[in-house]
Amino acid sequence: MKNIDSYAHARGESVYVCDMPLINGTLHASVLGSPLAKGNIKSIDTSEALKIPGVIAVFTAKDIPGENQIGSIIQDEPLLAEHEVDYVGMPIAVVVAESEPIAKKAKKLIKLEIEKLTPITDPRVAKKENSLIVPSRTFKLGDIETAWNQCSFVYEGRAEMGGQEHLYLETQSAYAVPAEGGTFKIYSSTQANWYVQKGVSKVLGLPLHKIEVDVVRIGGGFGGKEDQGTPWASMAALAAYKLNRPIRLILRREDDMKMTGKRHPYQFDYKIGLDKNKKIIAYQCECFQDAGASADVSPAVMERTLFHGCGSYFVPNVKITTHCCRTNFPPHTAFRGFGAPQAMFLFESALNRAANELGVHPTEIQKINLLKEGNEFPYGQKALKCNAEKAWQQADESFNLKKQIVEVTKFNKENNDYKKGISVYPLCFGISFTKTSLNQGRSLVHIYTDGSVSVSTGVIEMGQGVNTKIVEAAAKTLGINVSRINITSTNTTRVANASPTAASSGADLNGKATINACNEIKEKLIEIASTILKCDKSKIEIRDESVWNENTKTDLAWKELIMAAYEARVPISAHGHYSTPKIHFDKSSEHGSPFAYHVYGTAITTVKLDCIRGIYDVESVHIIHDLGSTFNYDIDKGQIEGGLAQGIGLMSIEELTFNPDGSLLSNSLSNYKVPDIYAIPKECKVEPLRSGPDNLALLGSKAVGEPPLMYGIGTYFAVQMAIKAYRPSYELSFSAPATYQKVLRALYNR
Amino acid sequence: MATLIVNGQERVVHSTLGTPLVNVLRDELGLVGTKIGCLEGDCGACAIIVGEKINDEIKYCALTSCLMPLGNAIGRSVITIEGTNLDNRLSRIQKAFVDHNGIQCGFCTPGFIISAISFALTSNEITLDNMINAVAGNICRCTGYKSIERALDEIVNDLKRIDMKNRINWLINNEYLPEKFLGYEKQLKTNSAKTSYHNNGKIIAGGTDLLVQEEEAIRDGSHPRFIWGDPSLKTIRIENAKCYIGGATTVSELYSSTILNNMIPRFKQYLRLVSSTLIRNMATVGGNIANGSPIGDLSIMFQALDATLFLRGAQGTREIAIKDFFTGYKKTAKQDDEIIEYIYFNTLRPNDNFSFEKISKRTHLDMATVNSCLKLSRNKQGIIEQASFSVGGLGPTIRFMSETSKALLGKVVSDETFIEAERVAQKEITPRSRPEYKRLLVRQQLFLHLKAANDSLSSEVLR
Repeated sequence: MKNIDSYAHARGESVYVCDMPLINGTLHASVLGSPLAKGNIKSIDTSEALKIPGVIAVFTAKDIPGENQIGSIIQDEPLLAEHEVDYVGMPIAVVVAESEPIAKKAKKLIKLEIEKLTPITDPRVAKKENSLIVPSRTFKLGDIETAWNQCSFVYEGRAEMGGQEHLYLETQSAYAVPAEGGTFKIYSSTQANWYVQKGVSKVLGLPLHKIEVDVVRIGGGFGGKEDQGTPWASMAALAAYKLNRPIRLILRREDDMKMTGKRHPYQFDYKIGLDKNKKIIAYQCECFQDAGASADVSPAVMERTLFHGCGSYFVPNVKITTHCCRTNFPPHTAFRGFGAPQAMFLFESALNRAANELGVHPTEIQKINLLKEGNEFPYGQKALKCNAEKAWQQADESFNLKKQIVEVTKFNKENNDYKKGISVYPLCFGISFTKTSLNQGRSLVHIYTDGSVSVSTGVIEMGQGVNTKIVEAAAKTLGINVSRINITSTNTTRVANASPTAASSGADLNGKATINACNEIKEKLIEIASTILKCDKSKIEIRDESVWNENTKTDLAWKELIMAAYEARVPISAHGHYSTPKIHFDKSSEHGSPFAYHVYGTAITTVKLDCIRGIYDVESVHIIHDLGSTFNYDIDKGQIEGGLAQGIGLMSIEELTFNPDGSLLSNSLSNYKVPDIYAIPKECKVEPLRSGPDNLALLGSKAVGEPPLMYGIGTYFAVQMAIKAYRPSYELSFSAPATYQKVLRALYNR
Repeated sequence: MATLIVNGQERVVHSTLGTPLVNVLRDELGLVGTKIGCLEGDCGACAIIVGEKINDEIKYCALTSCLMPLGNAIGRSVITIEGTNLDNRLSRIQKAFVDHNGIQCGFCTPGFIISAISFALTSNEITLDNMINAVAGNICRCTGYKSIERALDEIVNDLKRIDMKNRINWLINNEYLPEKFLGYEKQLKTNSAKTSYHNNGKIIAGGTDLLVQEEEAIRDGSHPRFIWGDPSLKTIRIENAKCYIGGATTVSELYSSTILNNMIPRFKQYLRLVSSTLIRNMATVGGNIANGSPIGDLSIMFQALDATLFLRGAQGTREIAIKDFFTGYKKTAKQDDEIIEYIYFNTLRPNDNFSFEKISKRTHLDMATVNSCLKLSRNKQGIIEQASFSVGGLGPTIRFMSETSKALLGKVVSDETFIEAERVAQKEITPRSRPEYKRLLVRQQLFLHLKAANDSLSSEVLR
């Protein structure tokens, strides 16, 4: 089944917040951000701005009726800076005007007097100065101290990985409309309508039930609208509250890039030890997470770094330490992979370092250290139904890894100015929110008297096709055609307290809740059918839009059945709830079983490097990916290819650059480059892993949102191999992304 | 107040003539299928098709409506995604995107569809490579493009059947365009709106730089002078061994010029490194030069060609060598009222070498980190008689590398010549930012230029 939105998308008829027809009297807001990365606010003078014709009002922290606080995990993030500014772009004032260009013009006239302080722009410095958001955490396995003695080879060093701009095509948007009885309806481009509801409620000082948040869809999120949809909706709501008029706030791209957080940049120290058979015996690392100026979801991101410290490998002695470092950058936030890509990049760096030192192809080390059934992760959970080796083997067979390596070697012998590099990346990614309480989903299913069905869930559609999957799951459960089902907007009045659409879990949690709701109704329907047909209800099924008795189609069709249920005053609506069973995690011991299941895979990446220009193409990526048993391969394949491209961007051309004063240099699409159609692999083959369904996944089909991004890591190491082929004395470098600048300088050792 | 033809209908709008067209379409006319992604021409979400009546024919191109001032749309036919929709069913291109799952969040989709339709409307050479080139200015953050490629491949295979002589009817009969499209053409042909407003304000050609840098001033400015599409400023011709190019000639017109492609064999490849189709359809030669960018790709090329600019202003006309034109960062010798009417240079002789190199963060649709161009004339013995090396990205203006160029004179193209010229080049430059990398790039590019003239040059000299 194709994505149910694609018809309207193709015609340009889908509605995003920015496309909504404006209600009479709507005003437009623009946000003034701090020009300094750190400082004390002495004064804010809005008088000149207010003189501009068309300007209605300027709001600052002192206008907030409730609490000036939007932090979700930790209450450390003001909506508007009051006494101090903590990063360039930190919102200070909201200008409201008859049009957005007027508001934008007026905000330049606001005079700020800020006492300049020295910002922290390096997470290592933050750690040294004890500028930490939460206490550091460590995961351990085995006995790391004695393990080093068992190693024949030990290597240590440093690595780093840059952040990443989400670059959802639709910028952050909100439209706040005051309604009767002091209530507010908020349309927001958010991945978490509950978070927006909580943020607005706190800022306005109103109970949650006075705030209705509605999301039809968003134009891409990738994590960037999980926590960070909230401030813009709260500012629009603040202005709507103060002025009693509808307020639209849509960030311009430059403001969006300046004011919102990104994927966390990390700095690392690593130490890896192998025995003489190249078995990895010990692995220790310290990860300095650049969290930005406030917590946002950084502590949770840091946690996932811990969970994925060893990637898809088993190491018997491990010590992983992470520091959540407060710096003067925008609060860095969720981004597809959520701390795992950084951990995996680091492990792969350590492994590649060892391979380089030992003079072997990294695959020789990778293959023998893959996770095996029953191996313990450094957080206590056992790898069950472990597919790490299976994925590697299938990749080897389907894509002939050995032959590919031979061909690359041959190419490099025959060519001087072009070199190829090949790498294999094995993936293991845990599915579930690591915060156990978030692992719940809800769904409201109504069947109307004409037999049509309405489904509302807590999940946000952002292009990942989750609504399509849920429609399919509902149709399958009810035994009717998908055309009978309409999925509505995600709205806090229909489904309350919804977890953010994140952690790849949206389909599992909300899909299974939908199935539960459908089953609840179906049970009632079967009772009605058994009464009408005067037969045993255990023999009755509903499928193909009809009631079947003992595998024989009866004359009782869906529509008639629904009408009969209504006449019998039986509920044909239900609110389904689902919470992931079995999972648990104890932070005090850093032990537990936090994941419903793991997703595995293997990617083989080949790059071709132009050694004169220092630029490269990804020639091919061949992927075996663990989907469990997919029921919508079209959508799943789209997630794999899309995640891969984003991962390649992360590892190659996407580079955040800053001035020494902490202001963002890469603040527009002209100087921050995401992959274009020429920047993606020339050949991309994807094959599902031959594995079975997983019971904790929706209809057995494993979560697919985040894991494929990490196949991009292969690109970095393939590039390293290609550089090495040109300059054999090259000692590998572990500083992602592999920009053309770094590559050319590495090729010529400058 | 202005009258605009949008999707075949005359619409009266009240925005200032400097307002980006995308705002007019969305805010005044409610045509919200055209999306705003970046407002600087770098994402393609706001792509539209513009038709222009030239003699009695209508020429189409796709462009980013965020960089097109309303004034440039007057008298032209503006077609948005809404205007390409068929009644109650998907068009051929839309269907291919749906069938191949080339759509996820949907925000970039209308822009891609528009670019692909524009390809169907205009391409004379139906290949996948050309189709990709047509959509290369559209950014998608969800799909990873592979599914879009598959959709485009299917479309290209289908389009191979196109009847070029009867293109519009073929496209309508094959459900690429709605039947009402014929009405749009009729509407434009009978429309008598002026193609340009000769006012006294800021001169705006394609607007691709100005609307990024001075959006507010241009939006509010009351009387911009729109010269985009002015036929008197459009020419590519050779006279007396000189090549003349009109100031309002677009980069796309350069791209498809037989004259230039015959003169410079790799010209199309070079121009593919200059922005994207959506921008090249708007950006003009005069605009690129007048903008005074220190990395202007065309300026770099014309400087290596030792071109001369012909300016016309209130005080009359004058000529100035492009080498003397750039006076500082985004500053030029041009007076505010002057227009670059045309630019000319000596045509290349068959033995001359001309090569262009550009390295940026991303290979396509990006600004250069360093770009350079070398023109060499050699005699029959292979001795270099004339050399012009021009480089961008090293300082406030593009550089003419006079010392390096001089160092090449009287030499044959050899490893030794490269080594010597490179030594001179390194002395001649003082890159302000990222000096190590830029110095390295100058070396590599100089090598590549010389290697283009003599393939036996060995890259061993670089090690």
